[in-house]
Amino acid sequence: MVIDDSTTVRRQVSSALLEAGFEVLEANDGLDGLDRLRHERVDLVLCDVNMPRLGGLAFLEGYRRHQDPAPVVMLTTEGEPTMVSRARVLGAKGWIVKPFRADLLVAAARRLTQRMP
Amino acid sequence: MDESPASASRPHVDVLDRVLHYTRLPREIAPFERVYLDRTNRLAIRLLIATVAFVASVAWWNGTDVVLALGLSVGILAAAMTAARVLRHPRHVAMSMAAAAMTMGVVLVHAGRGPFEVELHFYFFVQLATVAVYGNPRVVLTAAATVILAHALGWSQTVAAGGDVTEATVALAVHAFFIGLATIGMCFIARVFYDNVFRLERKVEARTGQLDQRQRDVRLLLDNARQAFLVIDADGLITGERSSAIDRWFGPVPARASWFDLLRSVSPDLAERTRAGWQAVVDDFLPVELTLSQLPSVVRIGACTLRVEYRIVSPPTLPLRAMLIVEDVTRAIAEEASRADREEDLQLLAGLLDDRAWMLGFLDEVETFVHDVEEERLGAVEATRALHTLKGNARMTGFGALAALCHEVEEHLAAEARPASPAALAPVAARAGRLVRRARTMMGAAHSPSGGRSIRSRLERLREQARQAAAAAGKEVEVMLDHGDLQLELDGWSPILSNLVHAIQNAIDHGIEATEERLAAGKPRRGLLVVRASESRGNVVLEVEDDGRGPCWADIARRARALGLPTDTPAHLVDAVFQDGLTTAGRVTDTSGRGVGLAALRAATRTLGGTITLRGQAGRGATLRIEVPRTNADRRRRSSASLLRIEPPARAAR
Repeated sequence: MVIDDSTTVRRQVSSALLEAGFEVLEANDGLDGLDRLRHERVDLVLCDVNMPRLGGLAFLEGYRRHQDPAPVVMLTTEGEPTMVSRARVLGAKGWIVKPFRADLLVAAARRLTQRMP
Repeated sequence: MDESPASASRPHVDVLDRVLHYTRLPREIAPFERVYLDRTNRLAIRLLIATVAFVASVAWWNGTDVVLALGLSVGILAAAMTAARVLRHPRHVAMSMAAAAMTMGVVLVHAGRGPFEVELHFYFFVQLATVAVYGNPRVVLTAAATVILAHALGWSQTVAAGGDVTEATVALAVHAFFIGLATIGMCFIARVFYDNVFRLERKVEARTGQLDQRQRDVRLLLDNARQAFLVIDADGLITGERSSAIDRWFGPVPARASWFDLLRSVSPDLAERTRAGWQAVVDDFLPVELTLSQLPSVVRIGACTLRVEYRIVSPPTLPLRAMLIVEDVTRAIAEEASRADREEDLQLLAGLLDDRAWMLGFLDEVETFVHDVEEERLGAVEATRALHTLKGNARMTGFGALAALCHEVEEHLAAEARPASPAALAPVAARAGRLVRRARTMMGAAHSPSGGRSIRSRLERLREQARQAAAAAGKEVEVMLDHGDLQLELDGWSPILSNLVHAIQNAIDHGIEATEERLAAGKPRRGLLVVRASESRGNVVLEVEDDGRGPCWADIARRARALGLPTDTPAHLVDAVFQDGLTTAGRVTDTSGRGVGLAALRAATRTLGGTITLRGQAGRGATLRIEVPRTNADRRRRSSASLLRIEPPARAAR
């Protein structure tokens, strides 16, 4: 699942992952994401940091309480250190800087979804 | 061993040669062996002293002549000690010790009676074995020879006194036989000891020397490559060798320093970003190619820009090690910028020559864009649209760099789902503005809408003044200008521009160090002085930057206190720099040091409603920055023109 308030970004992520053979769900902010993830099962979540209603860090806090949460990777324009370490503490596996390279995104997705039992 | 035909046909000579070769140690004596022998010889003296006491007590116990025994043994001891002092070669001293020990044994044996006399013979074999410790077959042979000689003397004495010759001869022969056997064995042991201890010691020394040489060769590579290298571990600690350039750029590196510590001295924010990025590499959740690419790769130290590349150099099973390749790209960046500028100029020229109408139309649109951004006339949606349009037009007109810049900003805005703001568009506006100014210059300033003239000529004059000042001060300085053809109403700006020379003079006199001092500090030979003129959000910004020794805030504080000025906050200290009468210059030169020039510059700046400030770091240089709202100076010019000048009719149209 990709969670980002920018349509452009969602489109970019989706097309890169679809081409690599993944199925992609979309949500446009943290609240929307948490909602959908209550009913859907995913193998990986890519989540933006700055979003209206519920941002990336708040999403993480909510999501880790779910049953069997999938690995989460943050999408951010800055890689700002305080945010990054906070996300790590909340269980995020890392972050990808926007604009991203499609091949690196796909490689990351492949590696993280391989780990699933 | 030479294998001459002669020796091959006479095998016994060959064997003899071999034996001789075996028993003779190589001539040169290594320091290790010398120290060892000296120590052993001193020990031997002490043992001889103990033996004297032993001999005396044996004589006393057995009721033989104690005085004689003592006298003889002390005499032998004295001889040994003399030999130790007189002989220069420790191996010769060793042989003397062996001879002395054996002779002492003869006295010892004769001091005993009955069974004692027999038992004490064991002394000889013990000593024969012990001298192997000298690692020298010749010492063993000396000991053996001494014993044989003593026996022979005893034998001749017995014969002369009329004793049983056969018995005496048999005794001598048997003793000689066993001594011979023991000698052969001990010679072997001594030689083996020599070969494995002393020779080995020498081999180790040679090897260490080789390794040291290799180390020096590696250092040569590390310190003379264009790039600097260092290695860090999973915790970011700097391990192993590193190029000395690292120490020059970041200052001396303490023992257990981490890469982040070095970065922190430059920029705490950069250090934290790098630490966070490195943590991601170490976590290894995401592919290493991704995490490495997200590490900050640019470090700015003063006027210097460094590029850092990270490479994992450890195999997966071993502890993590990364090599950092650090390169000074300041020059490269400057050259690239220069090249891009030249290319843009060429493109402008070509456009004006080939399709003037199109180019002029494009430039008009660009100018409108720049003004709209600067005066914040664009709403979010309009700004995004304008940016996109500019990108397309720039690309079509052949200004790839400008188009790429637009694209980059567009991407960033899209990624953040943020609308375009003046701040976000500023870099594009700056570049576009430069393009327009260059175009105007090319076409002649007559049509410039703002009615100003290029600051170029004034700054070029300043540069010439700077060069002369540097020559007069005997300093090597490179003066660079960066003005992008900024257009100004030069009359209105005159007070500042004419006083700007003080800042330059100051930088040259007190900022830039003499050549030797710069080289000693690891800086490039020539000092760098940059004069910058630019425009930002309606303010004109003038900067004078140098890479000299930087302001010594402690000195400034001291002088300020002496003048009764406040020194509590950094702002106070900066303020103090511009005061009349404050100079931290030890001496007053022809040109500066009176503490007046910078004060005048500040006064001129303030009259135009601007701000002036000084930033700097000890050892790294300083930047003097003047920021004045453009309209202030222009307005002033207009008012001064109307009040103070009577324009002759012919010059009215400007």
